[in-house]
Amino acid sequence: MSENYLIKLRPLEPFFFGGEYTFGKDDSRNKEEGSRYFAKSELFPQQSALLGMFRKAILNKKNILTLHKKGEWVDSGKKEFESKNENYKEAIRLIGKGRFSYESGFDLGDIIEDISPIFISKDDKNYFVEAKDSSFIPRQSQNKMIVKAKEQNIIYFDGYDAKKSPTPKFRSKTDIIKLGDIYKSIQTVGIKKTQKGKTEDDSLFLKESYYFRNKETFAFVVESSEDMLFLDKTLVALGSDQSSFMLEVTDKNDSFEELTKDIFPSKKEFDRVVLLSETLLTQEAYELCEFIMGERKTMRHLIRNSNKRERKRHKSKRYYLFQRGTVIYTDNLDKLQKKLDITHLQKIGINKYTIAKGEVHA
Amino acid sequence: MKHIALTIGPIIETLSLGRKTAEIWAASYLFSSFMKDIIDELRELEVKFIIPHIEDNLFCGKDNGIGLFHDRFIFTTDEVSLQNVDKIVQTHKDNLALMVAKSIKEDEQKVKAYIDQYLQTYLVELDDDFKNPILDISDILDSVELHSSHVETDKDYLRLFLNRNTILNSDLAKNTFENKPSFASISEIASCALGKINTKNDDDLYKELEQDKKNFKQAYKYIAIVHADGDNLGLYIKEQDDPSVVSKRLFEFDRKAVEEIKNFGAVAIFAGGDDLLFFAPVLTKEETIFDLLDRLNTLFSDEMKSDKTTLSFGVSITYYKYPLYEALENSRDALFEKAKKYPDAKNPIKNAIHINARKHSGQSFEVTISKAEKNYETFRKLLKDVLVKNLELPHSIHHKLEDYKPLFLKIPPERIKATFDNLFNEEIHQDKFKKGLEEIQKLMIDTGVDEQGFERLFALLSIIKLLRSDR
Repeated sequence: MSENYLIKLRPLEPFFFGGEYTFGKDDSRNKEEGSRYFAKSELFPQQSALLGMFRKAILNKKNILTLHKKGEWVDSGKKEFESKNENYKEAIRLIGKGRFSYESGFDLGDIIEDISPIFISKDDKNYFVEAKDSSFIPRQSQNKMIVKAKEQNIIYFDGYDAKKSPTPKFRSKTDIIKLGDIYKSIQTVGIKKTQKGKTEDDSLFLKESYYFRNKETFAFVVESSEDMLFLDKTLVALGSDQSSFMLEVTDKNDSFEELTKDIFPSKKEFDRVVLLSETLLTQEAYELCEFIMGERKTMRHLIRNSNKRERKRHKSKRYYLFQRGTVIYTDNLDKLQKKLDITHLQKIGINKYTIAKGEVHA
Repeated sequence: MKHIALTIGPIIETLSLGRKTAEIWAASYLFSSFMKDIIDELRELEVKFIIPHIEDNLFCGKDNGIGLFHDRFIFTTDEVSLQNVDKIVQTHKDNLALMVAKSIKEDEQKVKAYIDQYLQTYLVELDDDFKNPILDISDILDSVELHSSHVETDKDYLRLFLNRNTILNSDLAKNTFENKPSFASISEIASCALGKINTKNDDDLYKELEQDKKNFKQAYKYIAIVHADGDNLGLYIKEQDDPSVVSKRLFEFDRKAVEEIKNFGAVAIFAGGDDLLFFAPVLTKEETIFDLLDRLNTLFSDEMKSDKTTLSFGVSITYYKYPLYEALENSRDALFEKAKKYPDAKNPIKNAIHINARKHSGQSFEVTISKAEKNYETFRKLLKDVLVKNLELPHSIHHKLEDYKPLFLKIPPERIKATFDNLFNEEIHQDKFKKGLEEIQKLMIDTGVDEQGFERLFALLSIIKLLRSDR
C-alpha cells in the first residue's frame, strides 16, 4: 500500500538555483559574446533537478552508485561485469530509466510513484507561494474587451495600484509571511578560470545566492509503496553550485492535496485555479482561461543526442511556464482541469494546482 | 458616446531580451512604432483621442528613433466599433510580424503566429460615464494588462530579431532614422565629451581616448541609465477643468525633454506621457548628470504649470562593461522602489532622485535624495565647486569621517564645528582644504548627524569621487 513521506531539505550553506540563463554562454547572442556577468538564484530548484537529486540519493544509499574520480555511474549489465548485473537491474527497479522531458513521460521506477512540487516548511507549517491576486477584489464588468480576437467581459481588480509592486509572500493554512522573512540574499563576486588556471577576459561574475533566515527547510511529498525511511539523514547536493542539504524523512503524512486543500480563500463568484508549481499551459487550456494573473518564465531542458558518441547534450526548445502563485480565472473549470492534468508532468510535481471555487459555486 | 482604449505589452519582458543599447532601443521602439501606426490609421475615422495628444506632424517624416507613443490610447467615438478597431490592430500586428520575419529570414506564417501570441493587445469598450476618463479608464487598463498571454513556439523570433546587426539593417530602423541607421554604444555615450572616434570595440575606444592624458577622466567609463516618472499626476489631473489639457502639456514636455537629453549627449530611448528613459554620460566637458536632471525637472514644472506634480528619477550608474539589462532593472527599481517611496513608503512625498552606483571594483553605494531638501542644494554646490576646482577635498575625507562617525553621533550639534576644526587641524587643512572642509561640514549637517544622515553623506561623497574620477 502506498504512503506519503514528507521529505525535508535543510540547507547547510547558501544555495543557488539556476534558471534558463546563469553563467553559461547565451545561445541567443552572437558567437563572439561571452557568458553572462550576473545571475540571480531562483527561489526554488527545478522539479527535474529535485527528481534527479532524489534518484541519486536513493542509489547512493542503496550502494548502487559507483563513485569515481572520473565521475559517477551505475555499472551496466555488460557480460564481463556479469556479477554486477543485479546492480544495474536493481537501479532500474528503484528509480526507473529515462530523462526528464516536458513532452513525454518516463519510467520513475518502482518506488517513486509521485513527487510533489517543492515548498517551504517552517515550524511544522507548510508555506506556498501566495496567490498573485490575494490583495485585490476581482470584479466583472458588463463592458467588453477583446483578447486574441475573442470578445469577453472585462475582469478588473479593485485595490490594484500599478505603481505599487506587491511584496512577494508565502501562505500557510494559518498565516502569511513575506519573502524577506524567509529568504536572505547574498551577493558574491568571483572570477572564472580556465582548466589551466588562466583568467580570461570578462571572467568576473556576480552571483546572488540565497539562504534561509531561520530554521526553514524546503520540503516535498513523495508517494511510495516502499519504505523511504532509509533515506533519513542523507547528505545531498542541489543547485548549480551543488550546495549541501541534509535530507530528512518522516512517514505517515498527509498527501500534497491534503496539505494544500482550501489554502487560498475564495473570491465571491469567481472560480480560480491557483498554481502550486511551474505549469505548462497548452493552447487548448489557454483558450479556457478568462484571465491569467501571474508570472511566466522560459525554461529549456537538456536532451540526449541520438548519436551516443556525441558527448555534448543539446537544449530542447524553449517552454513558457507559468510560475507558482499564478491565478487563472475561468468559467470552464472542469474542462480546464482536464487540460491541466498532464499526468507525466504531475507525477513529478509540475502542473499542480488547487481550486478556489467562487462562493456562489462552493 | 463610448470610450475605446487599448493597452499593449509586454514591454518590460521584451526589454529584458536586449543586451546592447540598440537592442534595448529596438525593444522599446517596437511598441511605440506599433502604437503610432495604429493611431495613424484610427485618426482618419470618427474618433477623438483623449490620450495621447495627437498632432499631424507626429506622423510626417522620420522621428529618428525617438519613441513618443505610450503603450496605451483612449478615445471617444459614436461611430467606430470595437471589432473595427480590433481589425486595425490585427493588421498592424501582422505588419510588425512581417517586418520581423523579413529581417531574420524566417517563415512569415510562423513568425505571424508567434507575434500574435507574444504581443499583448487588450482592447476595451466602455459605455459608462466617467467623472475623469483618463484616471478611471487607466485604472481599468492597469488591471487588464495583468492578463498574461500564452506562447507556444519552436523558436523565439523576437529574440532573434533583437540583435544589433539585425536591427540596424531592418525596415524598423530604416524607416525611422534619416541617415544610415546607427546607435551609439554604451562606451560611446559614456565618453561623448571627448568626441566620436571610430573603433572596432569598446576596449579599443578607451585605449585611444586614454592617450589624451590631459582630458581623459575615469568618469567617462561610466554610464547613467535614467528612468523618470511624474509624481501625483492623478491628483493633478483631477484638478484640471479639461483633463485633455494634461496630454498636451505632457506632449510638450516630452518634445522639449528629448531636445535637452540630446543636447547633453545622452540618448533618449523613450519619452511618452510622464515617462522618460534615457542613457546618459555621467560627465560631459562641463556638466554632470545632475545638471541634466535639474533641467528636466524645471522643464516639467514649467510645462505642467504646477508644483503639485513633480518628477522623480531612478538613476543607475555603472561601469561600461556592466550588463545593460541589469543596469536597466536597477534604474527601474531605483525609481519605483526608492524614489517613489521617499521618505516613507506609507506616506511618500516623492520628488526624489535615487542613485544606485556600482563601480568597476565591485564597490556599490546608493542614496535617495529629495530635490526639495536643503542637502540636495548643498550637495550640488559642493559637486560643482569640486569639479571646477573652486575647492579641494582631502582624498581620505571619507575614511576619516567614517572613523570619527561614532564621535559625531554622540556630540551635541553646537559642538560639531569645534570637533571638525579639532580633527582637521593640520596646516594643510587650514590652508589648501579649508574651503572644502567647510562645505563638507555643511553637507554633514544638512544630511543629518545620525546614522541615516551619515549613510547619505558617504554615498554623496562617493558620487563626488566617482565624478571627480578618483581611482
